[in-house]
This record gives sequence, structure tokens and C-alpha cells, in this order.
Amino acid sequence: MSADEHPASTSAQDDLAITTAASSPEPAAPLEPALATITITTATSDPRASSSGAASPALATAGSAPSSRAASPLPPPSPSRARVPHPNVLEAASDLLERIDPEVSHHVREMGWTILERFSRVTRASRETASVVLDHPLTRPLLPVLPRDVQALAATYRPADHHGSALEEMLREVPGASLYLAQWLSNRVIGSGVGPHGQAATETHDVWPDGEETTAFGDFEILSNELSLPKPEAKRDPKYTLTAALWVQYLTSNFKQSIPLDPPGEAEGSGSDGADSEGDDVPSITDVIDEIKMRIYYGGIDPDVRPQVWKFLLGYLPWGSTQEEQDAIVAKKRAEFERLQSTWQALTQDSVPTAVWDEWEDRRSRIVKDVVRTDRHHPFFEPTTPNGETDSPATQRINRNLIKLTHVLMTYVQYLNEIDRGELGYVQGMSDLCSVVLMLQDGDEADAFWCFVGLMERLHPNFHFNQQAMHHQLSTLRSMIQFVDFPLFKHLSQCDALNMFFVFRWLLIWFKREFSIPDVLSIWETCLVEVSSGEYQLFVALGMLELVRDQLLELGGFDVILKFTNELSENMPCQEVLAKAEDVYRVFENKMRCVDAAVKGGGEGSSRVSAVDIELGKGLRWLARGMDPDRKRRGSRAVAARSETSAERGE
Amino acid sequence: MNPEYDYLFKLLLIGDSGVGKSCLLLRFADDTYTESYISTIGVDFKIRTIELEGKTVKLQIWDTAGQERFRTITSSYYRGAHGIIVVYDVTDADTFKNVKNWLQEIDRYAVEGVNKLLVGNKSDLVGKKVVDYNEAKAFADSLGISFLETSAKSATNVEQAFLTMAKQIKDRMGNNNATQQTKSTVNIKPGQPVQQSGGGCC
Repeated sequence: MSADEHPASTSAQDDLAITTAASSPEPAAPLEPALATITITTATSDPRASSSGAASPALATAGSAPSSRAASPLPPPSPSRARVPHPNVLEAASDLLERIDPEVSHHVREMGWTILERFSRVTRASRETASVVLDHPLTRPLLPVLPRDVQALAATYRPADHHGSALEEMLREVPGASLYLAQWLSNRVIGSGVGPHGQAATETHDVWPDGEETTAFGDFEILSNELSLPKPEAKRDPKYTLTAALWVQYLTSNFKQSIPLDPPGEAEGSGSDGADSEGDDVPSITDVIDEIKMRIYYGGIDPDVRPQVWKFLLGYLPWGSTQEEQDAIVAKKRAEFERLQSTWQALTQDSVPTAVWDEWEDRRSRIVKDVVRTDRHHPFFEPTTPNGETDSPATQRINRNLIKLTHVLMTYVQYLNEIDRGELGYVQGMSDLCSVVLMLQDGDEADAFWCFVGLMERLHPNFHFNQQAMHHQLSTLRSMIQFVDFPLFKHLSQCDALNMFFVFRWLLIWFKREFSIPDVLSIWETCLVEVSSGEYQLFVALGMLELVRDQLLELGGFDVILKFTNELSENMPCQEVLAKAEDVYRVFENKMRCVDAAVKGGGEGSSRVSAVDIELGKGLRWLARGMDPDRKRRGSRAVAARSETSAERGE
Repeated sequence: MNPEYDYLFKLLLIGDSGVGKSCLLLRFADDTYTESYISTIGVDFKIRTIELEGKTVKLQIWDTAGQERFRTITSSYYRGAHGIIVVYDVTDADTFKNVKNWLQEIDRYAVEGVNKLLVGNKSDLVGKKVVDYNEAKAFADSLGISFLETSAKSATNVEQAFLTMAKQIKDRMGNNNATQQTKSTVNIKPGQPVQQSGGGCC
């Protein structure tokens, strides 16, 4: 579908020319409203700027060109995407803006609003569009695109106790934020010409070509369209992975040896997350456990040691226990599993009251109905016979792993009865969760059972009869979107999708249906460590939504949004989702700092948030576990180490 | 521009878990069947466009999770439905017994006058059948709703079930809303004759 098939919807919004040129003090006049055309020219005397004009024809035609990637919701992951912008970007941006309008450098606030106003004017769009731009919290990072003296003022907006250099962190956001804004505007424009439904989503992919783009802002990589927040600064990296070798080191030191995430000398600029990198004091076990969790959060767990590490993550084995203690616990837990299992296996219709038997039969029947349709495409559960024949009714019945899954779930029901949580019972979705830990523990029923018990300690509220926990999570996610991405919130509101039911499945079973099993394990362990938030699954969900944000903004109704999110299943790049989640958390935390400042009495930073932000922030504050005082205390030593490193380098 | 369809009807499949709601939908929308189809969590829908009495009718069929636990979520989908198909499993008496509860859910959450259809699925499992056709038929008759036994596996009566539902809705709409026109918006209001297209192209 091309734009000219929709004459009625082709408005002034369909055309956008953003011209930010040194020779042009005012934005160029928009083009005639004929086609959905975008021309973004960012030119200065810098010779590198010449290639930006060459990109324009491609941009102009991309809006109506069908995408070659139409079949996939996302382009293939690009390993180079995480590249850090050229440092000259910031200087170039400052110089450029100074030349555009030197007067505005007199006052920080006025400057910010002037820039934003210009953006809104160049769209030649309605007042509504302008207000959405201004409302967006991510326009605020534009403030640092200012001359140096003004940047210094901007830095004072950070609370004094913030780790590291506030200015540095803000500046890092600049290229992404600027690009974000332009990109966002362009998508709004394209979207209004293409139509409300699914096919538009893929067409917008080609609006920005992949690869390098040279502008006055310096060399930077054009972000693919799904990146809507500032360019990811996610620390997530395989170099932090909890490898088998590291795990052995931790184990043999009985969690008393710290192995810093970033070796001394490289720690600079890597965030406040490392444990002690120097100093004579012996780290506490809490510090070392925190360090391990940081590794898992940023790099995941090597699959070779995952089955064992998960036993600690899920509370099956206690951190800091000796090998002998662990052996004793495992033996005890195995015996307990056997006892629980033999208890329900001994039940007969005559041995218990009718009501008890009926309830048991009901639960058994539910479990069996679900087990036979859980992960049947996975080799672990594929029906086979000893001869390798597949898929006859007889072999299905005897599939050993299906029986194991049934056993673990039935034993869990028995366990619930014994801990007075019998009313929970078996609920659909539990078989999905249990299947993952059974595979993780390679079919060992007792290990899988205790891992499942640990997992359900975290997740059982999702399955309670009143579904309050699910409703609470959905409404929390809605507020998070309103807090960090108001345009998306507004769009969902217009689509009548604020009930957030389209992510129900994601949250109920922690994305189990959305990813392959190894990816599910990656996501779960990132959530289970609770490094930045005790409800990190909400940030993963928000990260997923932000990755497909541009497509979502093109969808015009709850039903198509639901269809779209359901069909993301197994089409999302897991590591990018986790990097995005980390990034989203960072944006969330930064904004929360401003809210904190405002709550403290209108101090520094408070002017960057609105009254609505403050109310939302108050309600969401509990999510920001990464901002807890005791976490800061632990992180402070790493920060001190980093400061010393910086001092040595003469900074 | 030609509208893609004359009517858009929203149907809802409800019934106990494991009775074959998703398989019925898969058979009707994609004409496929799989023995171990995954359980439904939350809701999903599929689309099929049919020709009915010279009109193009787009059916948007919503599939829900069967377990009672999720009714606080699934019940919110009743309101927008024009027709609701209650499914039970002819080899599982409990699922037939629960049909009454499902009908109460309809009374509670759906709009008045919504079309209803009772479907007994898995009719191919003749040897395991425990719910008698006549018993179910009498029950449906007493409530004034249509009834069919289906098999998603063998495709028996699946087409008829959905077409019956569509026909009933169309007849009802024809009586009530024959002269009503939709607004020219991108969201065509379900169940109303489409006079102009605003691009409902999902």
C-alpha cells in the first residue's frame, strides 16, 4: 500500500523536512504535502556532512517501498549496533547549536525549550504532535547539546550523591536522544500516510538505511528503527558471563574471593556495579554473592554450570554452604521428594473422603491434559520409542519425560497441600514453567521439583485465584510506560489497549512462550538475580515493547496489537531484549532521581519532571531496587576505586 | 476503493480447558489439525473471511484460556462478541456439566441478545463418547440455542458450526441494523454493515 492510495489521510503531517544547517538560522520550509517524504539534512562546513545529502533520496523513497524483511518483525541482530558514538559528536553538536542561535546559550531552560519548539515547528504538524514531543521525557536529554558553559550548568541538575560523573552520563545520552527524536518524528509522519494496520509496521524498517551515516554530529551508526529510546548503553556483554572456571573459583573459595567484573584499570566508566576491585579488606559473602549476581545480570550463566548455579538462585542450596553441607541438603531434599511423591501415589478413592478424591482427580486431569501439550515440539518431549519410531499413541503414553513432568507437577500439588497452600493447586501455565526446569536438570525429577518449588516461590502469586498479582503487574507496566514513554502510552490509550492484556502471557509465565528454552533461561536468570529491580520481568516486558515500539505505534487497535505481540513469539532477539531492558531500567532510574529531587522539596533536577511524573514516580519508586541505599553502599567502594583510576590518568 | 468485506463479526470460543477450542479454530481458520496443540494462555484470535448469502463476512474468532482461574481476564472479551460458541468434549462428562456455568458467564458478561451455539467436540472418538447426542440436543433446545457435534480432527461439522453462527448473527444484524452505517474511521465497528472503507485491513 502506498501513501497516495490514501488521499484522505495525507495531511501536512505526511511531509517532514528537518534541515539543521549552519547557513540557515531558521528551519527550512516543509515540502509540499504530496507524498510521505522525509528529508533529513544535517549540514555544516564539516566535509563529512556531504554524504548526508546523498542519503536523502533513499529516505524519500523508503516510505512506500516494501521491506525485504517484511516476514520478520525485526531485522537480524547487528553485532556492531552497540558501538559507542564518536566523542567528537558532542563537540560538533555543541558548536552546531551555538551557531544556529547563539542567543539561546544564555539560559539553560530557555535553550531547551527553544530547541524543542524548533523541532515541533519543523514538523509543521498539529499542536498535538508538538505537545507530544514536548511531553516526551526523552526530549530532555537534548539539554546537554549545549555549549560547554551551559553543559556545566546542566550537570548541576543531578543530585549530589549520584555515582560517577553526571555530566558524562548525560552526554552519553545525547546522540541517541537527538536521533531518537528525529527518528520518532519521521515514523509518526510515515505512519500517518501508510495506514493503521500491520503492513505499515514492516514498511517503516527501510526508512533508515542500515550502516554508517555521516552528519555534522559526527560519525555514528544509524540505529535500526526499533531503537526508540536513547542508543543503548547497556553494559550487558558476554565478557561478564559466569563461566564454569569462575564458578569453580567462587565455589572453592566458599564465596570468599572477589573476582571483579572489570579488572582494575578497565573499570573506569563501567558503572557502579562491580564489587571491590582493590583494597586489603576481605569482601563479605554478601558482596561476593552480589558480584556473582551482577555477572549473571550482565552476562548470564555458562550453560555448563547453569543447572548447579540455579540451585543457589532458586534457594535449593544455600549460598556459602560447604560441599558436605550441600551433599547433606541434597540427600535430605531427595528423600523429601520421594516421600511427597509416594504420598500422592498411595492415594486411592477409598482412602480419602470423596471431596478430597474428586479434587485430586480434577487436578490430576488438568495436569495430564496440559502435560501432553507442553513443549511437544522440543526434542526432550518428542514422542519416541526405544527404536526411534515417533508419534504413535502408545509411544506418547510411555514417553518418560512426559511422565516425569507429570510426576513433578503432581508432587507439587501434594507439596502445596502440605504447606497449606492447597487452594492454589495446578493452574495452566505451570506446566510451561516446570518443563523448563525439568529440561535444565536433565530430567532429574527431584532436582527439577525443588527448582520448581523455588521458582514458584517467586511466581505463585501469578496463579492465585483472584489474579490480583497479574492485574497489579499489568497496571504497573502501564504506569511504567506512561513514566518513560508517554507517546507510546498515549497511543495505547487511543487503541483502547491500556488494560495491557496483550502482555498477559509474557508476564504470567515469564516469556516462556516467547523464546526458545535457552533464551528463556537467559531471561529468567536475569530476573531471578533481582539486581536492579525485584520485578525485573516488567522491565523485560517494557524492553520488548520498546524494541518493537515503532511497529506498535503504527497499529490501530487493541486486537491488532494483541495479534502483533502474540506473533512476536520466537521472533525476538533475546540478548537485544535484555540489553534493551537494562537500558530501559537506566532511563527509569534516571528519571526517578529527578522525581526524588522534586519530592525532597523542589531541589535540583526537580524542574525536569512534571507533576504527573512525580505522582507516577512515587507510585513506581518501589521498583527501583538498584537505587536502594544499601546497594549504593556496596557499590560505593567500586566507585571509589574507579575515581582513583581516573585520578591516575590525570582526569 | 472496494471494501474488503461487508460484515465483520466477532466470535468467541469458550469452554473448559482441553475440549478443543483452539483445535476447532485451527481447523476452521487454517484447515489444519495437530494432536498436541499447545494450551492457550490469555487470549488469541484468528481471522477467516467467508461468503454468506452473497455477502463477504469477515469472522474474527477469539480463543480463550479454559481454566476458571483466568476468567477475570477472559470475561472482558465477552462484551464485544456478536456470537459465542460454548464447547464441551463429548468424551468428558464434566465438560458438558460445566456448560451451564459457561452460559451463566455469558449472561453475566456478554451483551444482551448475543448469539449462542453449543458444540460437542471430539465426535471422532466414538468409543470414548460419554455425552449422548440427544441429551445435549435436548438441553440446547430447552435453551433455544443451536447445537452441533464436531470433530476438529476429522473436520466434521467444523465449517457448519462457524457458518451457522455467522448466519444467525447476520440475520440478527439484518433485522436490527439494516440501515445503520458505519463511520468512515479506521476502526470499523464490529458487526455493522460496512458502507465505506477506512482501511480495516487486518
